[in-house]
Amino acid sequence: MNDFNYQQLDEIIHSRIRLAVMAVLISVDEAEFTFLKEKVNATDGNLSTHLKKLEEAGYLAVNKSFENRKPVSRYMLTQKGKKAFEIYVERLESMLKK
Amino acid sequence: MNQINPQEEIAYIKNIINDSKRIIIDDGKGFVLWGILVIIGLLLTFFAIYFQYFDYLWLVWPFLMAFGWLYSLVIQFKKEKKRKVSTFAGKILGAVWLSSGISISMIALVGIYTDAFDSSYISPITSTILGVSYFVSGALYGKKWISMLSFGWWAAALFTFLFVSVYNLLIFAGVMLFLQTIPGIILYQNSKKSL
Repeated sequence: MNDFNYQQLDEIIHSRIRLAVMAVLISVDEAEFTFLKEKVNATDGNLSTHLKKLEEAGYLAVNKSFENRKPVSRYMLTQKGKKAFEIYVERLESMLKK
Repeated sequence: MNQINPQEEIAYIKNIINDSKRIIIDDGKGFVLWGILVIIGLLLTFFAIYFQYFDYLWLVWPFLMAFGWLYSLVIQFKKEKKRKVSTFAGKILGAVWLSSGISISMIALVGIYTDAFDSSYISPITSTILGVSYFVSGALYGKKWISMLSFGWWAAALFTFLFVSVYNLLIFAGVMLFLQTIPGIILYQNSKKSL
């Protein structure tokens, strides 16, 4: 088991659901809430809480609109979010090399 | 997630990224639509030339193209409404097909109505452009068989450039069937399965 000190990692990303959200959004331009929910396998409330946390950290931007009178939220990574994710992965990789 | 294994963590991230990247799925409707329309146009043109009946021939291609573009816009509009995710690769794919569609339409209409060049060369020029579009699409979809189709298009272009004949219209109709319409049906079936 190659355990390491989790404190070296960005605590905002360092959660299973938030990490999954970041990984999904790094590979697409933008994604709807329902798509993220399906990909990360979370409940509406749980996902909303995690998205809010990422948004407050400035890692996510959200575009809210109405389609056929239904609210639609589209999420995308900000430059800050992309950078933070890159650093997170780099840290993981550097710990693997140790 | 306090004490975790970095290897597992990286594998988890890679898995999600790969899974999300696979979402460029074309339902093939555009392939089938344009394949059928072009086959109809080619057969009507061939029979008009063969039986020397040109009365309504001038109407055929503008009508088919106008129908094709309008229907494509409707299909695209519906897809956009349903789309839950947008990818960079998907945008490139859309741009490749839109630009090749405009180029082919321009070449076909210019070739027919301005006598800028011999209209016998419309089919090989179209095949050459389609070869590029299929090659790029195959790379973006990550499907080799789609890229391989482009060699068929380029072979058809070479043949119809070298051997100019009225029968090239029939050859091109056959190529449209096997390299455009049938692959479109396969993409449609695959997209149904992945839903």
